[in-house]
Order: sequence, then structure tokens, then C-alpha cells
Amino acid sequence: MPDSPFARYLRQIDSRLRMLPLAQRELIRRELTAHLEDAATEQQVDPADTAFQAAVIRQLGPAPKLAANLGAVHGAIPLLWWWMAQFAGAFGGGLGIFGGMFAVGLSQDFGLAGLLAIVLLICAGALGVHGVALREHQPTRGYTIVVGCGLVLTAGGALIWHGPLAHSFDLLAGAMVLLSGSLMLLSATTHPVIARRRRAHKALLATVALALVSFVAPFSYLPNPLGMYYLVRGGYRFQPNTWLMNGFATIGTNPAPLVAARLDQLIGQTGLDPLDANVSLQSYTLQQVITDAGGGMNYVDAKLQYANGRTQRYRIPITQFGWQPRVEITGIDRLLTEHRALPGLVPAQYGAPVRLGRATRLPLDSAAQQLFVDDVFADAPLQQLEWAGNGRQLFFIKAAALWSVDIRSGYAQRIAEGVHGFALSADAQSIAWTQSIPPQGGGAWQYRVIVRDQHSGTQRAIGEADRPIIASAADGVYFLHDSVLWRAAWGTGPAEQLGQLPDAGALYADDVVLALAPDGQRVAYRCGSDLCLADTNGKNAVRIALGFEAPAQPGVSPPDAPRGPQPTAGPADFAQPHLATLHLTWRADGAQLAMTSAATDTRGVPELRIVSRAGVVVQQIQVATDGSLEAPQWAADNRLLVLTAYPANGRRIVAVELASSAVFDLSQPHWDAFASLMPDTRTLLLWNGRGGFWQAPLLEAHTP
Amino acid sequence: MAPIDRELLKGSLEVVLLALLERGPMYGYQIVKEVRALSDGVLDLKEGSLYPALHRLERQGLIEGFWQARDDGADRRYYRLTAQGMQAARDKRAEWRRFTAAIEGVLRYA
Repeated sequence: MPDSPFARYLRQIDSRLRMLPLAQRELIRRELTAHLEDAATEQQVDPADTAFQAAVIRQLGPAPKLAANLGAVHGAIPLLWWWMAQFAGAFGGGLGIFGGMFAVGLSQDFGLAGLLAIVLLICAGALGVHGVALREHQPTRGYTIVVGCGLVLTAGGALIWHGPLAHSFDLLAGAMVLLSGSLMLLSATTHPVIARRRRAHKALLATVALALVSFVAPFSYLPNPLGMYYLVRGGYRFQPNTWLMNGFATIGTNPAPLVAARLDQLIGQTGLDPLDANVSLQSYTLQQVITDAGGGMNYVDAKLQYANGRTQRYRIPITQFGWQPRVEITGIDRLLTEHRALPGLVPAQYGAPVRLGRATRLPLDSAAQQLFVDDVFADAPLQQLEWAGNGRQLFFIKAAALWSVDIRSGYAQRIAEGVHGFALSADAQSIAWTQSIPPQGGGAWQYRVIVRDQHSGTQRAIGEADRPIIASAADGVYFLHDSVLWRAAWGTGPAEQLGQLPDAGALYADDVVLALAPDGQRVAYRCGSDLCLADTNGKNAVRIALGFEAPAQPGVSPPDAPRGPQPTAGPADFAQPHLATLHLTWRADGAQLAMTSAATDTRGVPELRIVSRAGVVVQQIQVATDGSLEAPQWAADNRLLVLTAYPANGRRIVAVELASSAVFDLSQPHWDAFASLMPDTRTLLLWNGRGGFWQAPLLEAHTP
Repeated sequence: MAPIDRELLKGSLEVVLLALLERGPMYGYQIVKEVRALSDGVLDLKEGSLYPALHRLERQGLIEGFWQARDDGADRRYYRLTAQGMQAARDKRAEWRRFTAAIEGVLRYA
């Protein structure tokens, strides 16, 4: 009776029970057929009679209802769910095969074992597909989905787990494999063994499963709602050494293995923050990881323990981006840079004529200390760091804000925002700075010069400059406008014109260098690619040629030179090295001037010149073979000059002994430090942008 | 006479089936007939609820089904009590009697 009403009735019931085992469906079909035949026998009618069949069907009830009642007894799930599970299983299996193929790098890292892992992955995916196909006819045989799922998840977990340290890590492959495992797991949850369970049991199972994938590794490496939330929102915090974490939220962003690998290399070492200058790092514990979904900075909080028992909690920033190649930089990478001996730099070790004594930590308020923490690269030094004459206050620019910090109390004060440069009076009671004024009608940028009295807190604008740099002398603050030098006395009075400085305007605004002799009578400045000295009224000017390419003729701009309000002063031939940086520092008595210069490429050498007040070069010293130089600082009764050099693409604190012209490398391994000479001129203040200040005495051979 | 509330019948279906099968193996259609006859036509089992109920009892291990050929050669599925089912039948019967006695008691004096 293939097309009889009862046959159609049976087919309708069977199609709604297709998630049940085939044998069970066959039993139901036979039993209902027997029921029809028994009724026909009893009533002595032909079972093929369509009217009779319709009557029996009415007695049995509608096919959907009877199927639903029978399905409920035998653990069937709603048909839509079943189809979704089948699709998830098939798609998940296929994705596992596909993802496995992307993990080919495993064989490069782990050889034959890696190759076997790939084959295992692909087989696992195939098992998933096979399980779905089997279940179509025999639902209880779908256990192969579970096996496939387990294998895929294990392999996917291995990919993720070893990924950060292995070259083979491929986030896309890992994500595909994990998603594959998840889909197969979803598919497996519709297995009759689970589906037959009571509702309360199923709810309990679902809750446990959700808790596992949300909070417990390695289950939590599966794509899960909580992990997705953290990936989108970011800011996920977890303890890296426990199983209680949402692994999915950390995929591709967990910096803990990377930081651990770096810290391992610092064990047993001394240095500056987070190391200790005198006691070696003994051990560490990674306590917390904070990830950022935006691809920005991640952080790892580590508890560092030193050989003397001291511990500190230290936050290490990490930035990770790109896949091929993967770029991973931590805030402590620079401490691991090899400290090589460089030609021309004498290592200032024990017994050297010039060296540093024992470094000691300067106690600093924790809030103030935070001011000295830079970004992940820790290479954004404080700009224009200057001391008050009493050695207690430190002034500097950070992120265009002018700050003062009391070194003893740690009290930090933000004085002004949008600051380009500043100058201090000798007693640090007055401070002047420049703030930019946007150009009007396409003109050039101007700079407002502001003076603040620290004692009263009052501040006033004293004039406008067309160059951001200002300089100070005992009698006031100096600035430039239209190549004319202006001065405003500290404390009172308006600014007054002093005189025209030849060639002072032939430069782009940021390249201007201006240094006043302490007595305020003589000025040194950069004029084109040379150094010029003049009286402050512009008379008695002397030009010292530094040997760099001459500036171009007015009106002739190199094609790639920046354009300023003045005719270009850049080099005519960019193939030639030209003057890149120039820094000037007058000696305290104003008799001499130290000048550092560096070229734009390796053909020019970084040099230190000592120039007399009149403008005669009395000494010329090559500081390094290449790289830039920072401003020199006169030290130890003017016998030494201390400065920061950048040779070999690195950074070194060097001391130049004027008597011998020898250059000593004061930097130590694991320091990565910047330095500033303290007002006593015999102590170096050291910091490396990682939180602390250190001070170390500058020792000479005759120093006891 | 108004028909019996289906919910009442549903609640008592299990005890009815177990009690009936105490008399010996029966198949589905036979159970419908017996119930109708023994209740003087008051209880009319809907087959739509009969088979799910039988399958549920079978899954609980109280009854077991088996196939047996009819005289004309066709198969029909019989159900019989298991040992566990026999005990359950006695328990259910006693429980039902306590229940009906309690209800009777209330109805008598209410």
C-alpha cells in the first residue's frame, strides 16, 4: 500500500523521527501497521480500504502529535535542531580538514611529528563528516563525531598553546580548527544518549558545558560567548598560571609566554628598572595578564624577586601585531640588547680613568614615578630636562606638558600644556615657555612667550616669537622674531629688541638652536649649516663653518625639502651629508662653549667642539663613528663633558675627558638609560623610562 | 453521560496498563479493546497516547515487547510485564486504591 493514506501517515511520522535509530523507527512503523491489521481483522474489513484507514488514523491521532509523543519517549530532538546539528557537524568536519591543511608550518617546526599532527587533524575532520553521514541512517553511530571533535580540539589546542613559541603558529588555522571542533561538539550534543536525558539533566549539562568553555582551559579555547565579548570589548584580565581563564579571549593576544621568555633571560642580571643596579633578579611570577582587543597594548603584571629578598610588582607592556612576520615587542626588550664594545668608546669599567660609582635608587613618590614610565618602547625620553639650581626640582616636558617634580617629596606639578620649549631663571623662581599660535591667513606659526612666577603663581605673556626655542641667562629670557633677538627681564618689564642675528632666520623653525652665555652678553646659534656667535646686539658676529653642504640659494628649494616661511636653508644636494643636529652648552663661566654636531648619514661623524667665547675652535673631538649626539653637559669642574650618543643604532651615555680627548662609555648592560648631570656636576641622574630614578657618582682616576 | 476528563485518564494510564498486563501478554489493539470492555465503554484509550505510554513503560523496564506471528502470518507486537513490572503493578494498584479510598472518603462526607 505504497500510496495509501496509512502509508503516507507512517511516512510523516517516520520523517519526524529521523534522528532516532533506524531500528527504533522500523519498530514503530511495524507496530502501527500491525495495529491497522488487527483492527481490520477485528472489524472484518480490508486493511487496504482507504475509509477504514482514515478511521484508524483518526483513532491514532495526527501524525505530528503521535510522532512528538513517541519522540519524547525515545529522546528525539526538534527536527530543526537536528538539521542544524547535522549541518554543524558536516561543516565543522569540513572546516577541520581545511584548517588542518593551513597548519603546514607544524611540519617545519616539529618535523615528522608535525606532519603526523596535520594528518591527524585532517583525519579528525573527516571523522566528523563521516559521523554525520552515518547518523543520517543510524543516529547512535554518530559517536565518530565525538571522536573527531576530540581530536580536532586537541590538535587545535596544541596549535594555540604552542603557537606563540613556534613558527608554525597560524591564527587562521587555529581559529578554523577550533571552530571546527566547536561545531562538531554542538553536533554531538544532539546524540540520543544526551537528548534522551531529562530536561533538568540537560540544563545541568548545558550549564556545566557553558561554565567549562567560559572559564576553564583548555575547554575555554573553544569559541564561546564570553570570550567573544572580551575579544570585542577588550580589557580581559586573567591569571596566566591557572586553568581558570577564558582561553578564546586570549587567542593571538596572550603575551604571557613571550614575557616569560624575556624574563628568563634577565634572571641573574643586574641593571636599571625593572632590574636592580646592585642586586640580581632571582625569580619572577606572572600574576596577571590584561589584554586589549583593539590590537593595542597588552600588559603582564609580574612579581619580581631579587637576591636580597626584595619583591616588586611590575607591569610590562607588550605590543603584538602582524602575522607574517609577527612583530612582538615587550617593554623589557631593550634590557636584553647585547652591550657590545664600540670602536672609539673606552668601556668605563673599574679602574678606568673615568667611570661611574655605585648606582643607588632615588626614592620617589609612586605617583611621580609614574610620570617617568614611557610606552612599550621606553624610548620617549623626557624632553629638555633641566634642574633648578638648588638641585631639588626637576623641570621637563613630557607629551607637550611642562612639569616640575620635587625630587625629595615626589610632588609633581603640571605647569602648562602645549609647551614647545622652556627656560629657567637661575633660582628657578621664574620659568618661561613658548606655546604655538595657529597661523592666521596662511601665514607662519607664531609662538607666544609666557613667563610664570613660581612663588606667586602669576603668569604673563611677554611677547611673540617666530621660533619655538627660547633661552635664558642671568638677566632674562631670550627669543627670536624675524632673526631679531629679544630679551625680557625675569620678573618685570616688557620684552625689548636687542639686535639682528645674521642668518638666524635661515632655518626651519624646529632646527633653530639658541644659547645665551650666562652673563647675557654673547649668543651662540645655528646659522644655516654653521655655528655663529655674536654679541646680543648682533655685533662682533663670527661664523664657524662646520664643513657641511652649504644651504641652497634663496628661492631654490630641493624637491623633497620641507617648506617654511623663509627661503630654504636645506642642502642643495641631498646626496651629501648635511647637518642634522646641533646642540650648544655654555660653560658656567661663559668662557667657552661646547657644541655637538651630527650628520644626516654615516659619512658625517658626530663631533664635539669646544669653542671660545670669541669664536675660535679650541678643541675638536670625534665622539663616535656614527649616529646623533645630544646636548653636552659640563661636568667635574669642566674637566669632563657628559652627553648621550647614538652610535651603531644604539644609545650610550658617554663622558669626554677634555685633557686627553678620550671618550668613555659609561653605559652598562641592562641599563637602557638616559642621563642628566645633577647641579653638583659630579652625579648623574639615570632613568630608563620604566619607572625609577637612579643616581651614580661620576668618578675620575684621582677620585678616592 | 459526559465523557471522562482526558487528564484523569492520562494520570491513570500507567496503572491501567500495568494492571491489564498482569493478566498476560497483550498487543496494542487488544489493550484498547480490553480497556473499553472492562470499563463498560467508559474508558476509551486513544491509540495516540497508548503507544507512547507502552514505549515509556518499556524504556523504564517495567514491560517488554516481543513479536509474535498471527495466524495469517503477519506480525504483531505483544507486551508483557517484567519482574520489575510485576512489582510495580502491585505497588501502583495499592497506591491507586489508597488514592481512590481517600477521594471517596472526602466525597462521602463533603
